[in-house]
Amino acid sequence: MNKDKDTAFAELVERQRTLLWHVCSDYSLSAAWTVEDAMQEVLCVLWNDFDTFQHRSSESTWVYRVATTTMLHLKRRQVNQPQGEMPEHHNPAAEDNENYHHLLQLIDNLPEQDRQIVRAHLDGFSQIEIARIVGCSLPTVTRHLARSKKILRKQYEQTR
Amino acid sequence: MKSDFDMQWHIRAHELDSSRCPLDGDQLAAIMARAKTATPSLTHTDLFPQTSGIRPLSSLLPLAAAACLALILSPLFRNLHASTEDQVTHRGLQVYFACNNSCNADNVLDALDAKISRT
Repeated sequence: MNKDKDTAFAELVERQRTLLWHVCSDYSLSAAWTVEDAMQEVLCVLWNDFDTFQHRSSESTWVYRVATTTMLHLKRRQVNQPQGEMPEHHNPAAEDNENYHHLLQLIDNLPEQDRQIVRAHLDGFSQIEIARIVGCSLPTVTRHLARSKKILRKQYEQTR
Repeated sequence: MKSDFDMQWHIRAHELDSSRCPLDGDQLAAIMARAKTATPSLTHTDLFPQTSGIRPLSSLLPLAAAACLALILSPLFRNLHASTEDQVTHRGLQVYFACNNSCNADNVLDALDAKISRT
């Protein structure tokens, strides 16, 4: 096995471990797998795609794109499987915050592309980066983001 | 004043800043080691189907074949077009003469041919 690749990959995982954990736990909401299982699946894809990363986008954008796309595929396969527990978010502001978890659930119920756009936006990516992550145009990101936030606000206010 | 929705939205927007990976070094190394040896359930193509960018040359082959065929057949079409045009013109003349001379249109062709051969 290529030792340089091993070292470079380990360094990348170390740099992006918080982002990886965050994406895996976020997409494991109501999932049948644990966050560790999701992490292993994402790392497996990252490892196999590591040689193809050409630094056209930032490292975090690439990692986020692979992680979210992998998680969406896992979610699609999850249909008809039993659902699991709410994952631990390790966010002090979110602890015992029922309204916060309600918002997360509403985001999780959005259509797949909207969900991916909203989460990437909330995770601090610019709209240009989100277009790269999702694989759509910038106007599509802008339009879907505005529409999704409007829908979420309406649903949130109707149910609270 | 911010609505409750905006407050929750704001908390979620800062979640990544305050989140941490709870795995220690050994746990992360173990997951990484398993990931490297596992068979990926998703391929690069599964994850990122090619929807844009430069097309492979093989995808242009049908287009190139159609262009060559059109090039080869174009003289044939030109002749076909010409002969059809001649026929139409010929028939048009027949009808024209027939109308102006109160005679059978089919007989005009023979008359024209006879006139052409004489000249």
